[in-house]
Amino acid sequence: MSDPKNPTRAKDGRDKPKESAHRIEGGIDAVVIGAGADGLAAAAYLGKGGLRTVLVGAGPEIGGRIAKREIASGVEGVDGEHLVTALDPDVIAELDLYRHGLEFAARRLDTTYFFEGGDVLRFDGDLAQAALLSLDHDDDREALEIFMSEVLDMAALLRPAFRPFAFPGGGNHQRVLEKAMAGATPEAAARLRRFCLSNADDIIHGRFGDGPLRALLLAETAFRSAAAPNEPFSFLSLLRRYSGEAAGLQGAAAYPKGGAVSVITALRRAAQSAKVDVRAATPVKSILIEGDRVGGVTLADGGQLRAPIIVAAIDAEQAYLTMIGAGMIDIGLERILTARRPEIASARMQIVLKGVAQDDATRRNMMRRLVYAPSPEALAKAFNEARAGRVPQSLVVEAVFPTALDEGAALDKRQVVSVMAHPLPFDAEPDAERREAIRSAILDNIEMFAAGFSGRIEADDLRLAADEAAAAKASPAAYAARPDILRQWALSSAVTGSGDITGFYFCGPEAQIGAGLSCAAGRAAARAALHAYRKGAA
Amino acid sequence: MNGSFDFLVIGDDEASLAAAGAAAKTGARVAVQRPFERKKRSPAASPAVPNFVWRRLDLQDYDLTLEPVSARVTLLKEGGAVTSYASARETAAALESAESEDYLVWRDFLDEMAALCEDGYLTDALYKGEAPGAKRFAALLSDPLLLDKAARLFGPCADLLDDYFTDPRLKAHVAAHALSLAGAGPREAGSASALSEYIEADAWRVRTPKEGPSLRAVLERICQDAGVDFTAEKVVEIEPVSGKHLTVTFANDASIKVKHVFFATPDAAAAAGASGPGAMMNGLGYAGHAVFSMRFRLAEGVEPPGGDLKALYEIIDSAEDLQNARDAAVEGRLYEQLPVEFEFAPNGELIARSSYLPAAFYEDGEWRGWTGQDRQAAAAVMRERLSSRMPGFASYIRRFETEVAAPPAGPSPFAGCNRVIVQPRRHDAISAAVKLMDRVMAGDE
Amino acid sequence: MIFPAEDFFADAPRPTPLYAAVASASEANLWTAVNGWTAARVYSSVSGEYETAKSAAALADLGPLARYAVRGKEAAEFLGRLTTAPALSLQVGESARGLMLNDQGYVIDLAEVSRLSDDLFLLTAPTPHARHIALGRRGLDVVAEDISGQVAALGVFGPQTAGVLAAAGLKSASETLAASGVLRGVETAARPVQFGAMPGVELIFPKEEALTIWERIIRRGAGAPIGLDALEILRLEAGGPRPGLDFTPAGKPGASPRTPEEIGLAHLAPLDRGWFNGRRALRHLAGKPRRRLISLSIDAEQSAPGAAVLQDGKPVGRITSCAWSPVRKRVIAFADVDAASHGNDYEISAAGAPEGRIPAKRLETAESGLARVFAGVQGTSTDFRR
Repeated sequence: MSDPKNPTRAKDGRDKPKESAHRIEGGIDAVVIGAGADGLAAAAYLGKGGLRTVLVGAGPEIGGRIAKREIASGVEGVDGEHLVTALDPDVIAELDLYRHGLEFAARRLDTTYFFEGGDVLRFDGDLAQAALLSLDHDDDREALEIFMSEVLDMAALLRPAFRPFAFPGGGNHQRVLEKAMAGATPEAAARLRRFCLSNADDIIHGRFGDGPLRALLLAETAFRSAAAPNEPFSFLSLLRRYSGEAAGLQGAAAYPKGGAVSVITALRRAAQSAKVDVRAATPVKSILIEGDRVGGVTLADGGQLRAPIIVAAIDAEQAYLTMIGAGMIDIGLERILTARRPEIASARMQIVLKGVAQDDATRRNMMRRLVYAPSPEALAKAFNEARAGRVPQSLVVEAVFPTALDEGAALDKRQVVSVMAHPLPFDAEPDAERREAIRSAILDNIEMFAAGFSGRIEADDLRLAADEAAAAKASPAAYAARPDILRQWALSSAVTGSGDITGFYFCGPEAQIGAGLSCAAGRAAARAALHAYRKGAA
Repeated sequence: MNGSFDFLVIGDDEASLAAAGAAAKTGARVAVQRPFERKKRSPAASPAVPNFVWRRLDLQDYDLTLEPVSARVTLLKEGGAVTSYASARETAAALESAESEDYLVWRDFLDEMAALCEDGYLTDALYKGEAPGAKRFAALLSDPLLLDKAARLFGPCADLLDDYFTDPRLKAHVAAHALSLAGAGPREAGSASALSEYIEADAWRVRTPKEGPSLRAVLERICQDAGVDFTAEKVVEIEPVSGKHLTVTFANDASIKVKHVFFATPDAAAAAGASGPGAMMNGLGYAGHAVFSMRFRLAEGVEPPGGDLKALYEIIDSAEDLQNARDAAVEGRLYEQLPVEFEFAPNGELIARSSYLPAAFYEDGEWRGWTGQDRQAAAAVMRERLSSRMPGFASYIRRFETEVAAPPAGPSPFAGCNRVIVQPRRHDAISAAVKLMDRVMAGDE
Repeated sequence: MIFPAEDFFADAPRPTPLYAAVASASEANLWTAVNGWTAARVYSSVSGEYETAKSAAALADLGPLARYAVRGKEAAEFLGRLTTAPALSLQVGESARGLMLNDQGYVIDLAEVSRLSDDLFLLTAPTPHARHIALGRRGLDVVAEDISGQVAALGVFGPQTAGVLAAAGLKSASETLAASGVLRGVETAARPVQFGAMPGVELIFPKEEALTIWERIIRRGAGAPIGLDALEILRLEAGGPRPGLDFTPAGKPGASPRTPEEIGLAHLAPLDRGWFNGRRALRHLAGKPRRRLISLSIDAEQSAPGAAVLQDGKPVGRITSCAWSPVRKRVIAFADVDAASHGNDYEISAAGAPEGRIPAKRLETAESGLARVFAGVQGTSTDFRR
């Protein structure tokens, strides 16, 4: 059986004999449920903090929705994310992820934007530069520079607010926030206050009129968010987008060597070096609540793990309604969890291309992040369509070429392009017809900026929110696009409040503000758990 | 008109005049610019006069009679009307007799909506158009309870209603009456705030009887008594001087110095050219739509379904209509199943309105403003909608006129002035306008 | 069960199922509205009705109170969550009092739960809570039906309660055990209820039979009706706080929320037994009351709600409700006072009294006795009899 002191033995859950049935296992300080990025990060923190920690994942693989998979014969792709934009720099430093093998193949991806009319704009990877290769008016360049520096300032001010935090313990968070905001200049603070409620389109339109810059910024605002850029609070989505940090640069995008899955690998190594007992294929049936504190978990096979700390890195519906049970959580928390109604989701598609042109321009573009930004009108319409449950005609498309970015990973005369498209209708159980409609909509949109693209497709693989959820054994709603930031804040603070159950900490997808691979929720949960553990021990 | 003022109020609707009068009575120097041409006509129902405004203006001295609108009625496509009343008990009883299970939670709904906007700093954010300062902002983000309230108050109206009610007809009714004023869609973020606003007593509309003086006339007299200056000249130029004043020049070359320009409704702002892209509104505004209204002089014998001439009516086919219409307005299209609000004015005219029309039309990849043809098309849709609920309606029409309040396409004389205050379209417009002006005055001190 | 505050501004109240019966018994014809239902303030005389309750059996129309039939496999879990009453440990026939708390641990309302069979419970509360119940039931296999208005409910209080029960054909019922039976074809149920801390029995029967049963009881001379005003005296003597008057239920507009401890009902929400909604939050609040609702007996002929309560010459709170007690020959009252106030001696400000003040003493009631015993058991200090 597993020995918490020797985590290497239990590395692969599938090899474990099934003799734990009806066994009660003690001597554990913390159980982390869920083997996604946040679960791994939380477990690594707990292990580093000296707690005997067991990480249990439901699926056979570690990594949750981010995993390597064969997408066509002989071609491996990475599910979940294709870039890193919001990975918490503190997690990288504190868990020493570079030492555990994390390496960026591209630290500062330039972005090329394509527009409906055939216009093209290139953005420097460092947004503060706002260096554009082609812009008709110098006025626009100046306006953009001013705007970007304002936005980056505001985003930096709000950065602590975009970090999830574990309640109770909000008092500390309040001080951090106050301090961060008090450091702002009065103008910046006033601007931020004025813009908080606003819709992004009003502000951007006021600054840039009707040009491509408006389309570009609206596309960035709308990307992966369920809040349309003409809705209130949507400006916050843009601030959230640009508050992230990739490889030390605010608002940038980076590509880790080997894809996003290498972040998982590094996290896993960090967890193992912190002596975390990682067990895959160990589904949890319920969380035991004794009095008002956690007692441990019951496994699907009937065994029990007793521990005074449980960290749930799974979706809130499973954690609260299934594992703890509706009858044991406060009515208000249950209302918040059951009142959610996701409407919009992003889709991921990985496409194997053959015979890609080898000219310089194409090769340069393959080393960049490519974004197709539909016109503001088309984007507004797309949100309306997606919300009404129809597949929109125009989509924001983000594309990268992992095979080009990963030096030496290029396949023989073939390339993989990884695409994320937004906004699409959310389906808990998409049928074949819906899949086909989404697939052809995405391909049509790629065709808008890469004519002749469809002719080179050798194979393609579409991944919807429901597929990701199935891979992570989560409820699909947890992988839909998140609503406006205000509602994300509310949901995050409700779920991280843990229903006031002593010893229970939550860092599932609902805890995170904004999209992308972050680990900030796992860090916050683990730190809160460690704090309480040490206080209890003292 | 010359000199220096604290406020230039543009518009002469009830909310503008009440705000001007209340400010003048507390010693502010106020000028009111009213539309150049004003037709004498029977006014539509206005928001109620809240008690504090009544006291401020001493309305008891002006021989004013206000009659509350008898009911809010929604005429859905099928299954007859849904009605709610000013009294919660009456509404619950009406719902019970219509066999709607939700009659049990109606009072809970009203209570909770009222409690939602009790927290000062949520409503401040809503009314002032500004998020709270650093300390309070930090406090908001650190208080799960308050965040939950904020998320509900500023979330989509449909989510909140779905969480409360089971009867789709009641949901459609509530959404129609709460949202049609501002032309919002029930699935849009922020639309739930209309719910807490529309259930307020100050949001229940009132009329003045045909015989007595109209509320507008009384408010105008109060303004005059309080020393408010009136002008009907058009504003041609507006320019900031120092950080604290604006110079406003009128068509007759008169010019005045003012501290603030105040619009009590976005309609007034649109008419004056002060809205449109980039214009900041105080609070959650739903830009991107026009208000289209029609007035019908009718032959004898037209009756709304149910026959109540004193009610306020909404025509929608279903709750989805509201979102579809809003989507169409955003996309620059005219929506066929247009939500229409109508009422009978004291002189028997029928006034119909809809806020679900596009501010401009999007055709062949281009935006263009309203044309005569668009007006005709909108009028045809509106007539069609009225006929669908009142069979033979078209044959009763003796005369009608149309009016569009759309933000102008051209450059606005108010562009770039940050001392221009525009209040969003609100159910309790009088109460909100007076409060907003008070706050601006307090900020000046 | 305690009546909530009257709704003074309610438009025409609806007649309760017993209205026709009680209206014929009313000589004073003095009515008020509670929860939108009719309620008699006085039938003949307040002192007479009070005497009846003390020496014979008083009959109160409990129709205005909210009443729910709760059915389903998880009915006990649901009630255990919704209220602090120990629904899971109730035997068939038993009743228990409790509170409804919101998630933050503040009191929404009082509640009373009776188990009529394995999976059928009756929930009564002073005011209706359709929304809270609808939310609390999510995720649980249970149906809660609002039956107020469908059944007639008659509360019986006083030493001769047994006689009334016999008249209604329910001899086996008592103040501690529910029973149901059929008398000449009419289905009737009786269940123990508590009027504050005062025990009694509630008779429930189909509203179509309201007049028949009422006639049967009255004709036997088994009891006399009691109105709200006399009940108010009994309530104050028993020490039960009245929602909407002595505290504003949490969640209502303008409420300043109160914990069970702050309204003197900590014994109804014990933290060491079953889970209920708001318990985890209450744990943080327990032992830290900001206010305290206390019973006072005032050495005066009259006083009024709103009067200031002083201690050591400083204002510490105000009277929330009061009535003349014919037994004590004093005014007894509830006062909401600062938790820092202590001891048993207070003063009430009053015009015309010497120095404008009347002495008042803390009063031990049945309810405060329970609270005191509970606090003793819990080991937290109380300033009673200090």
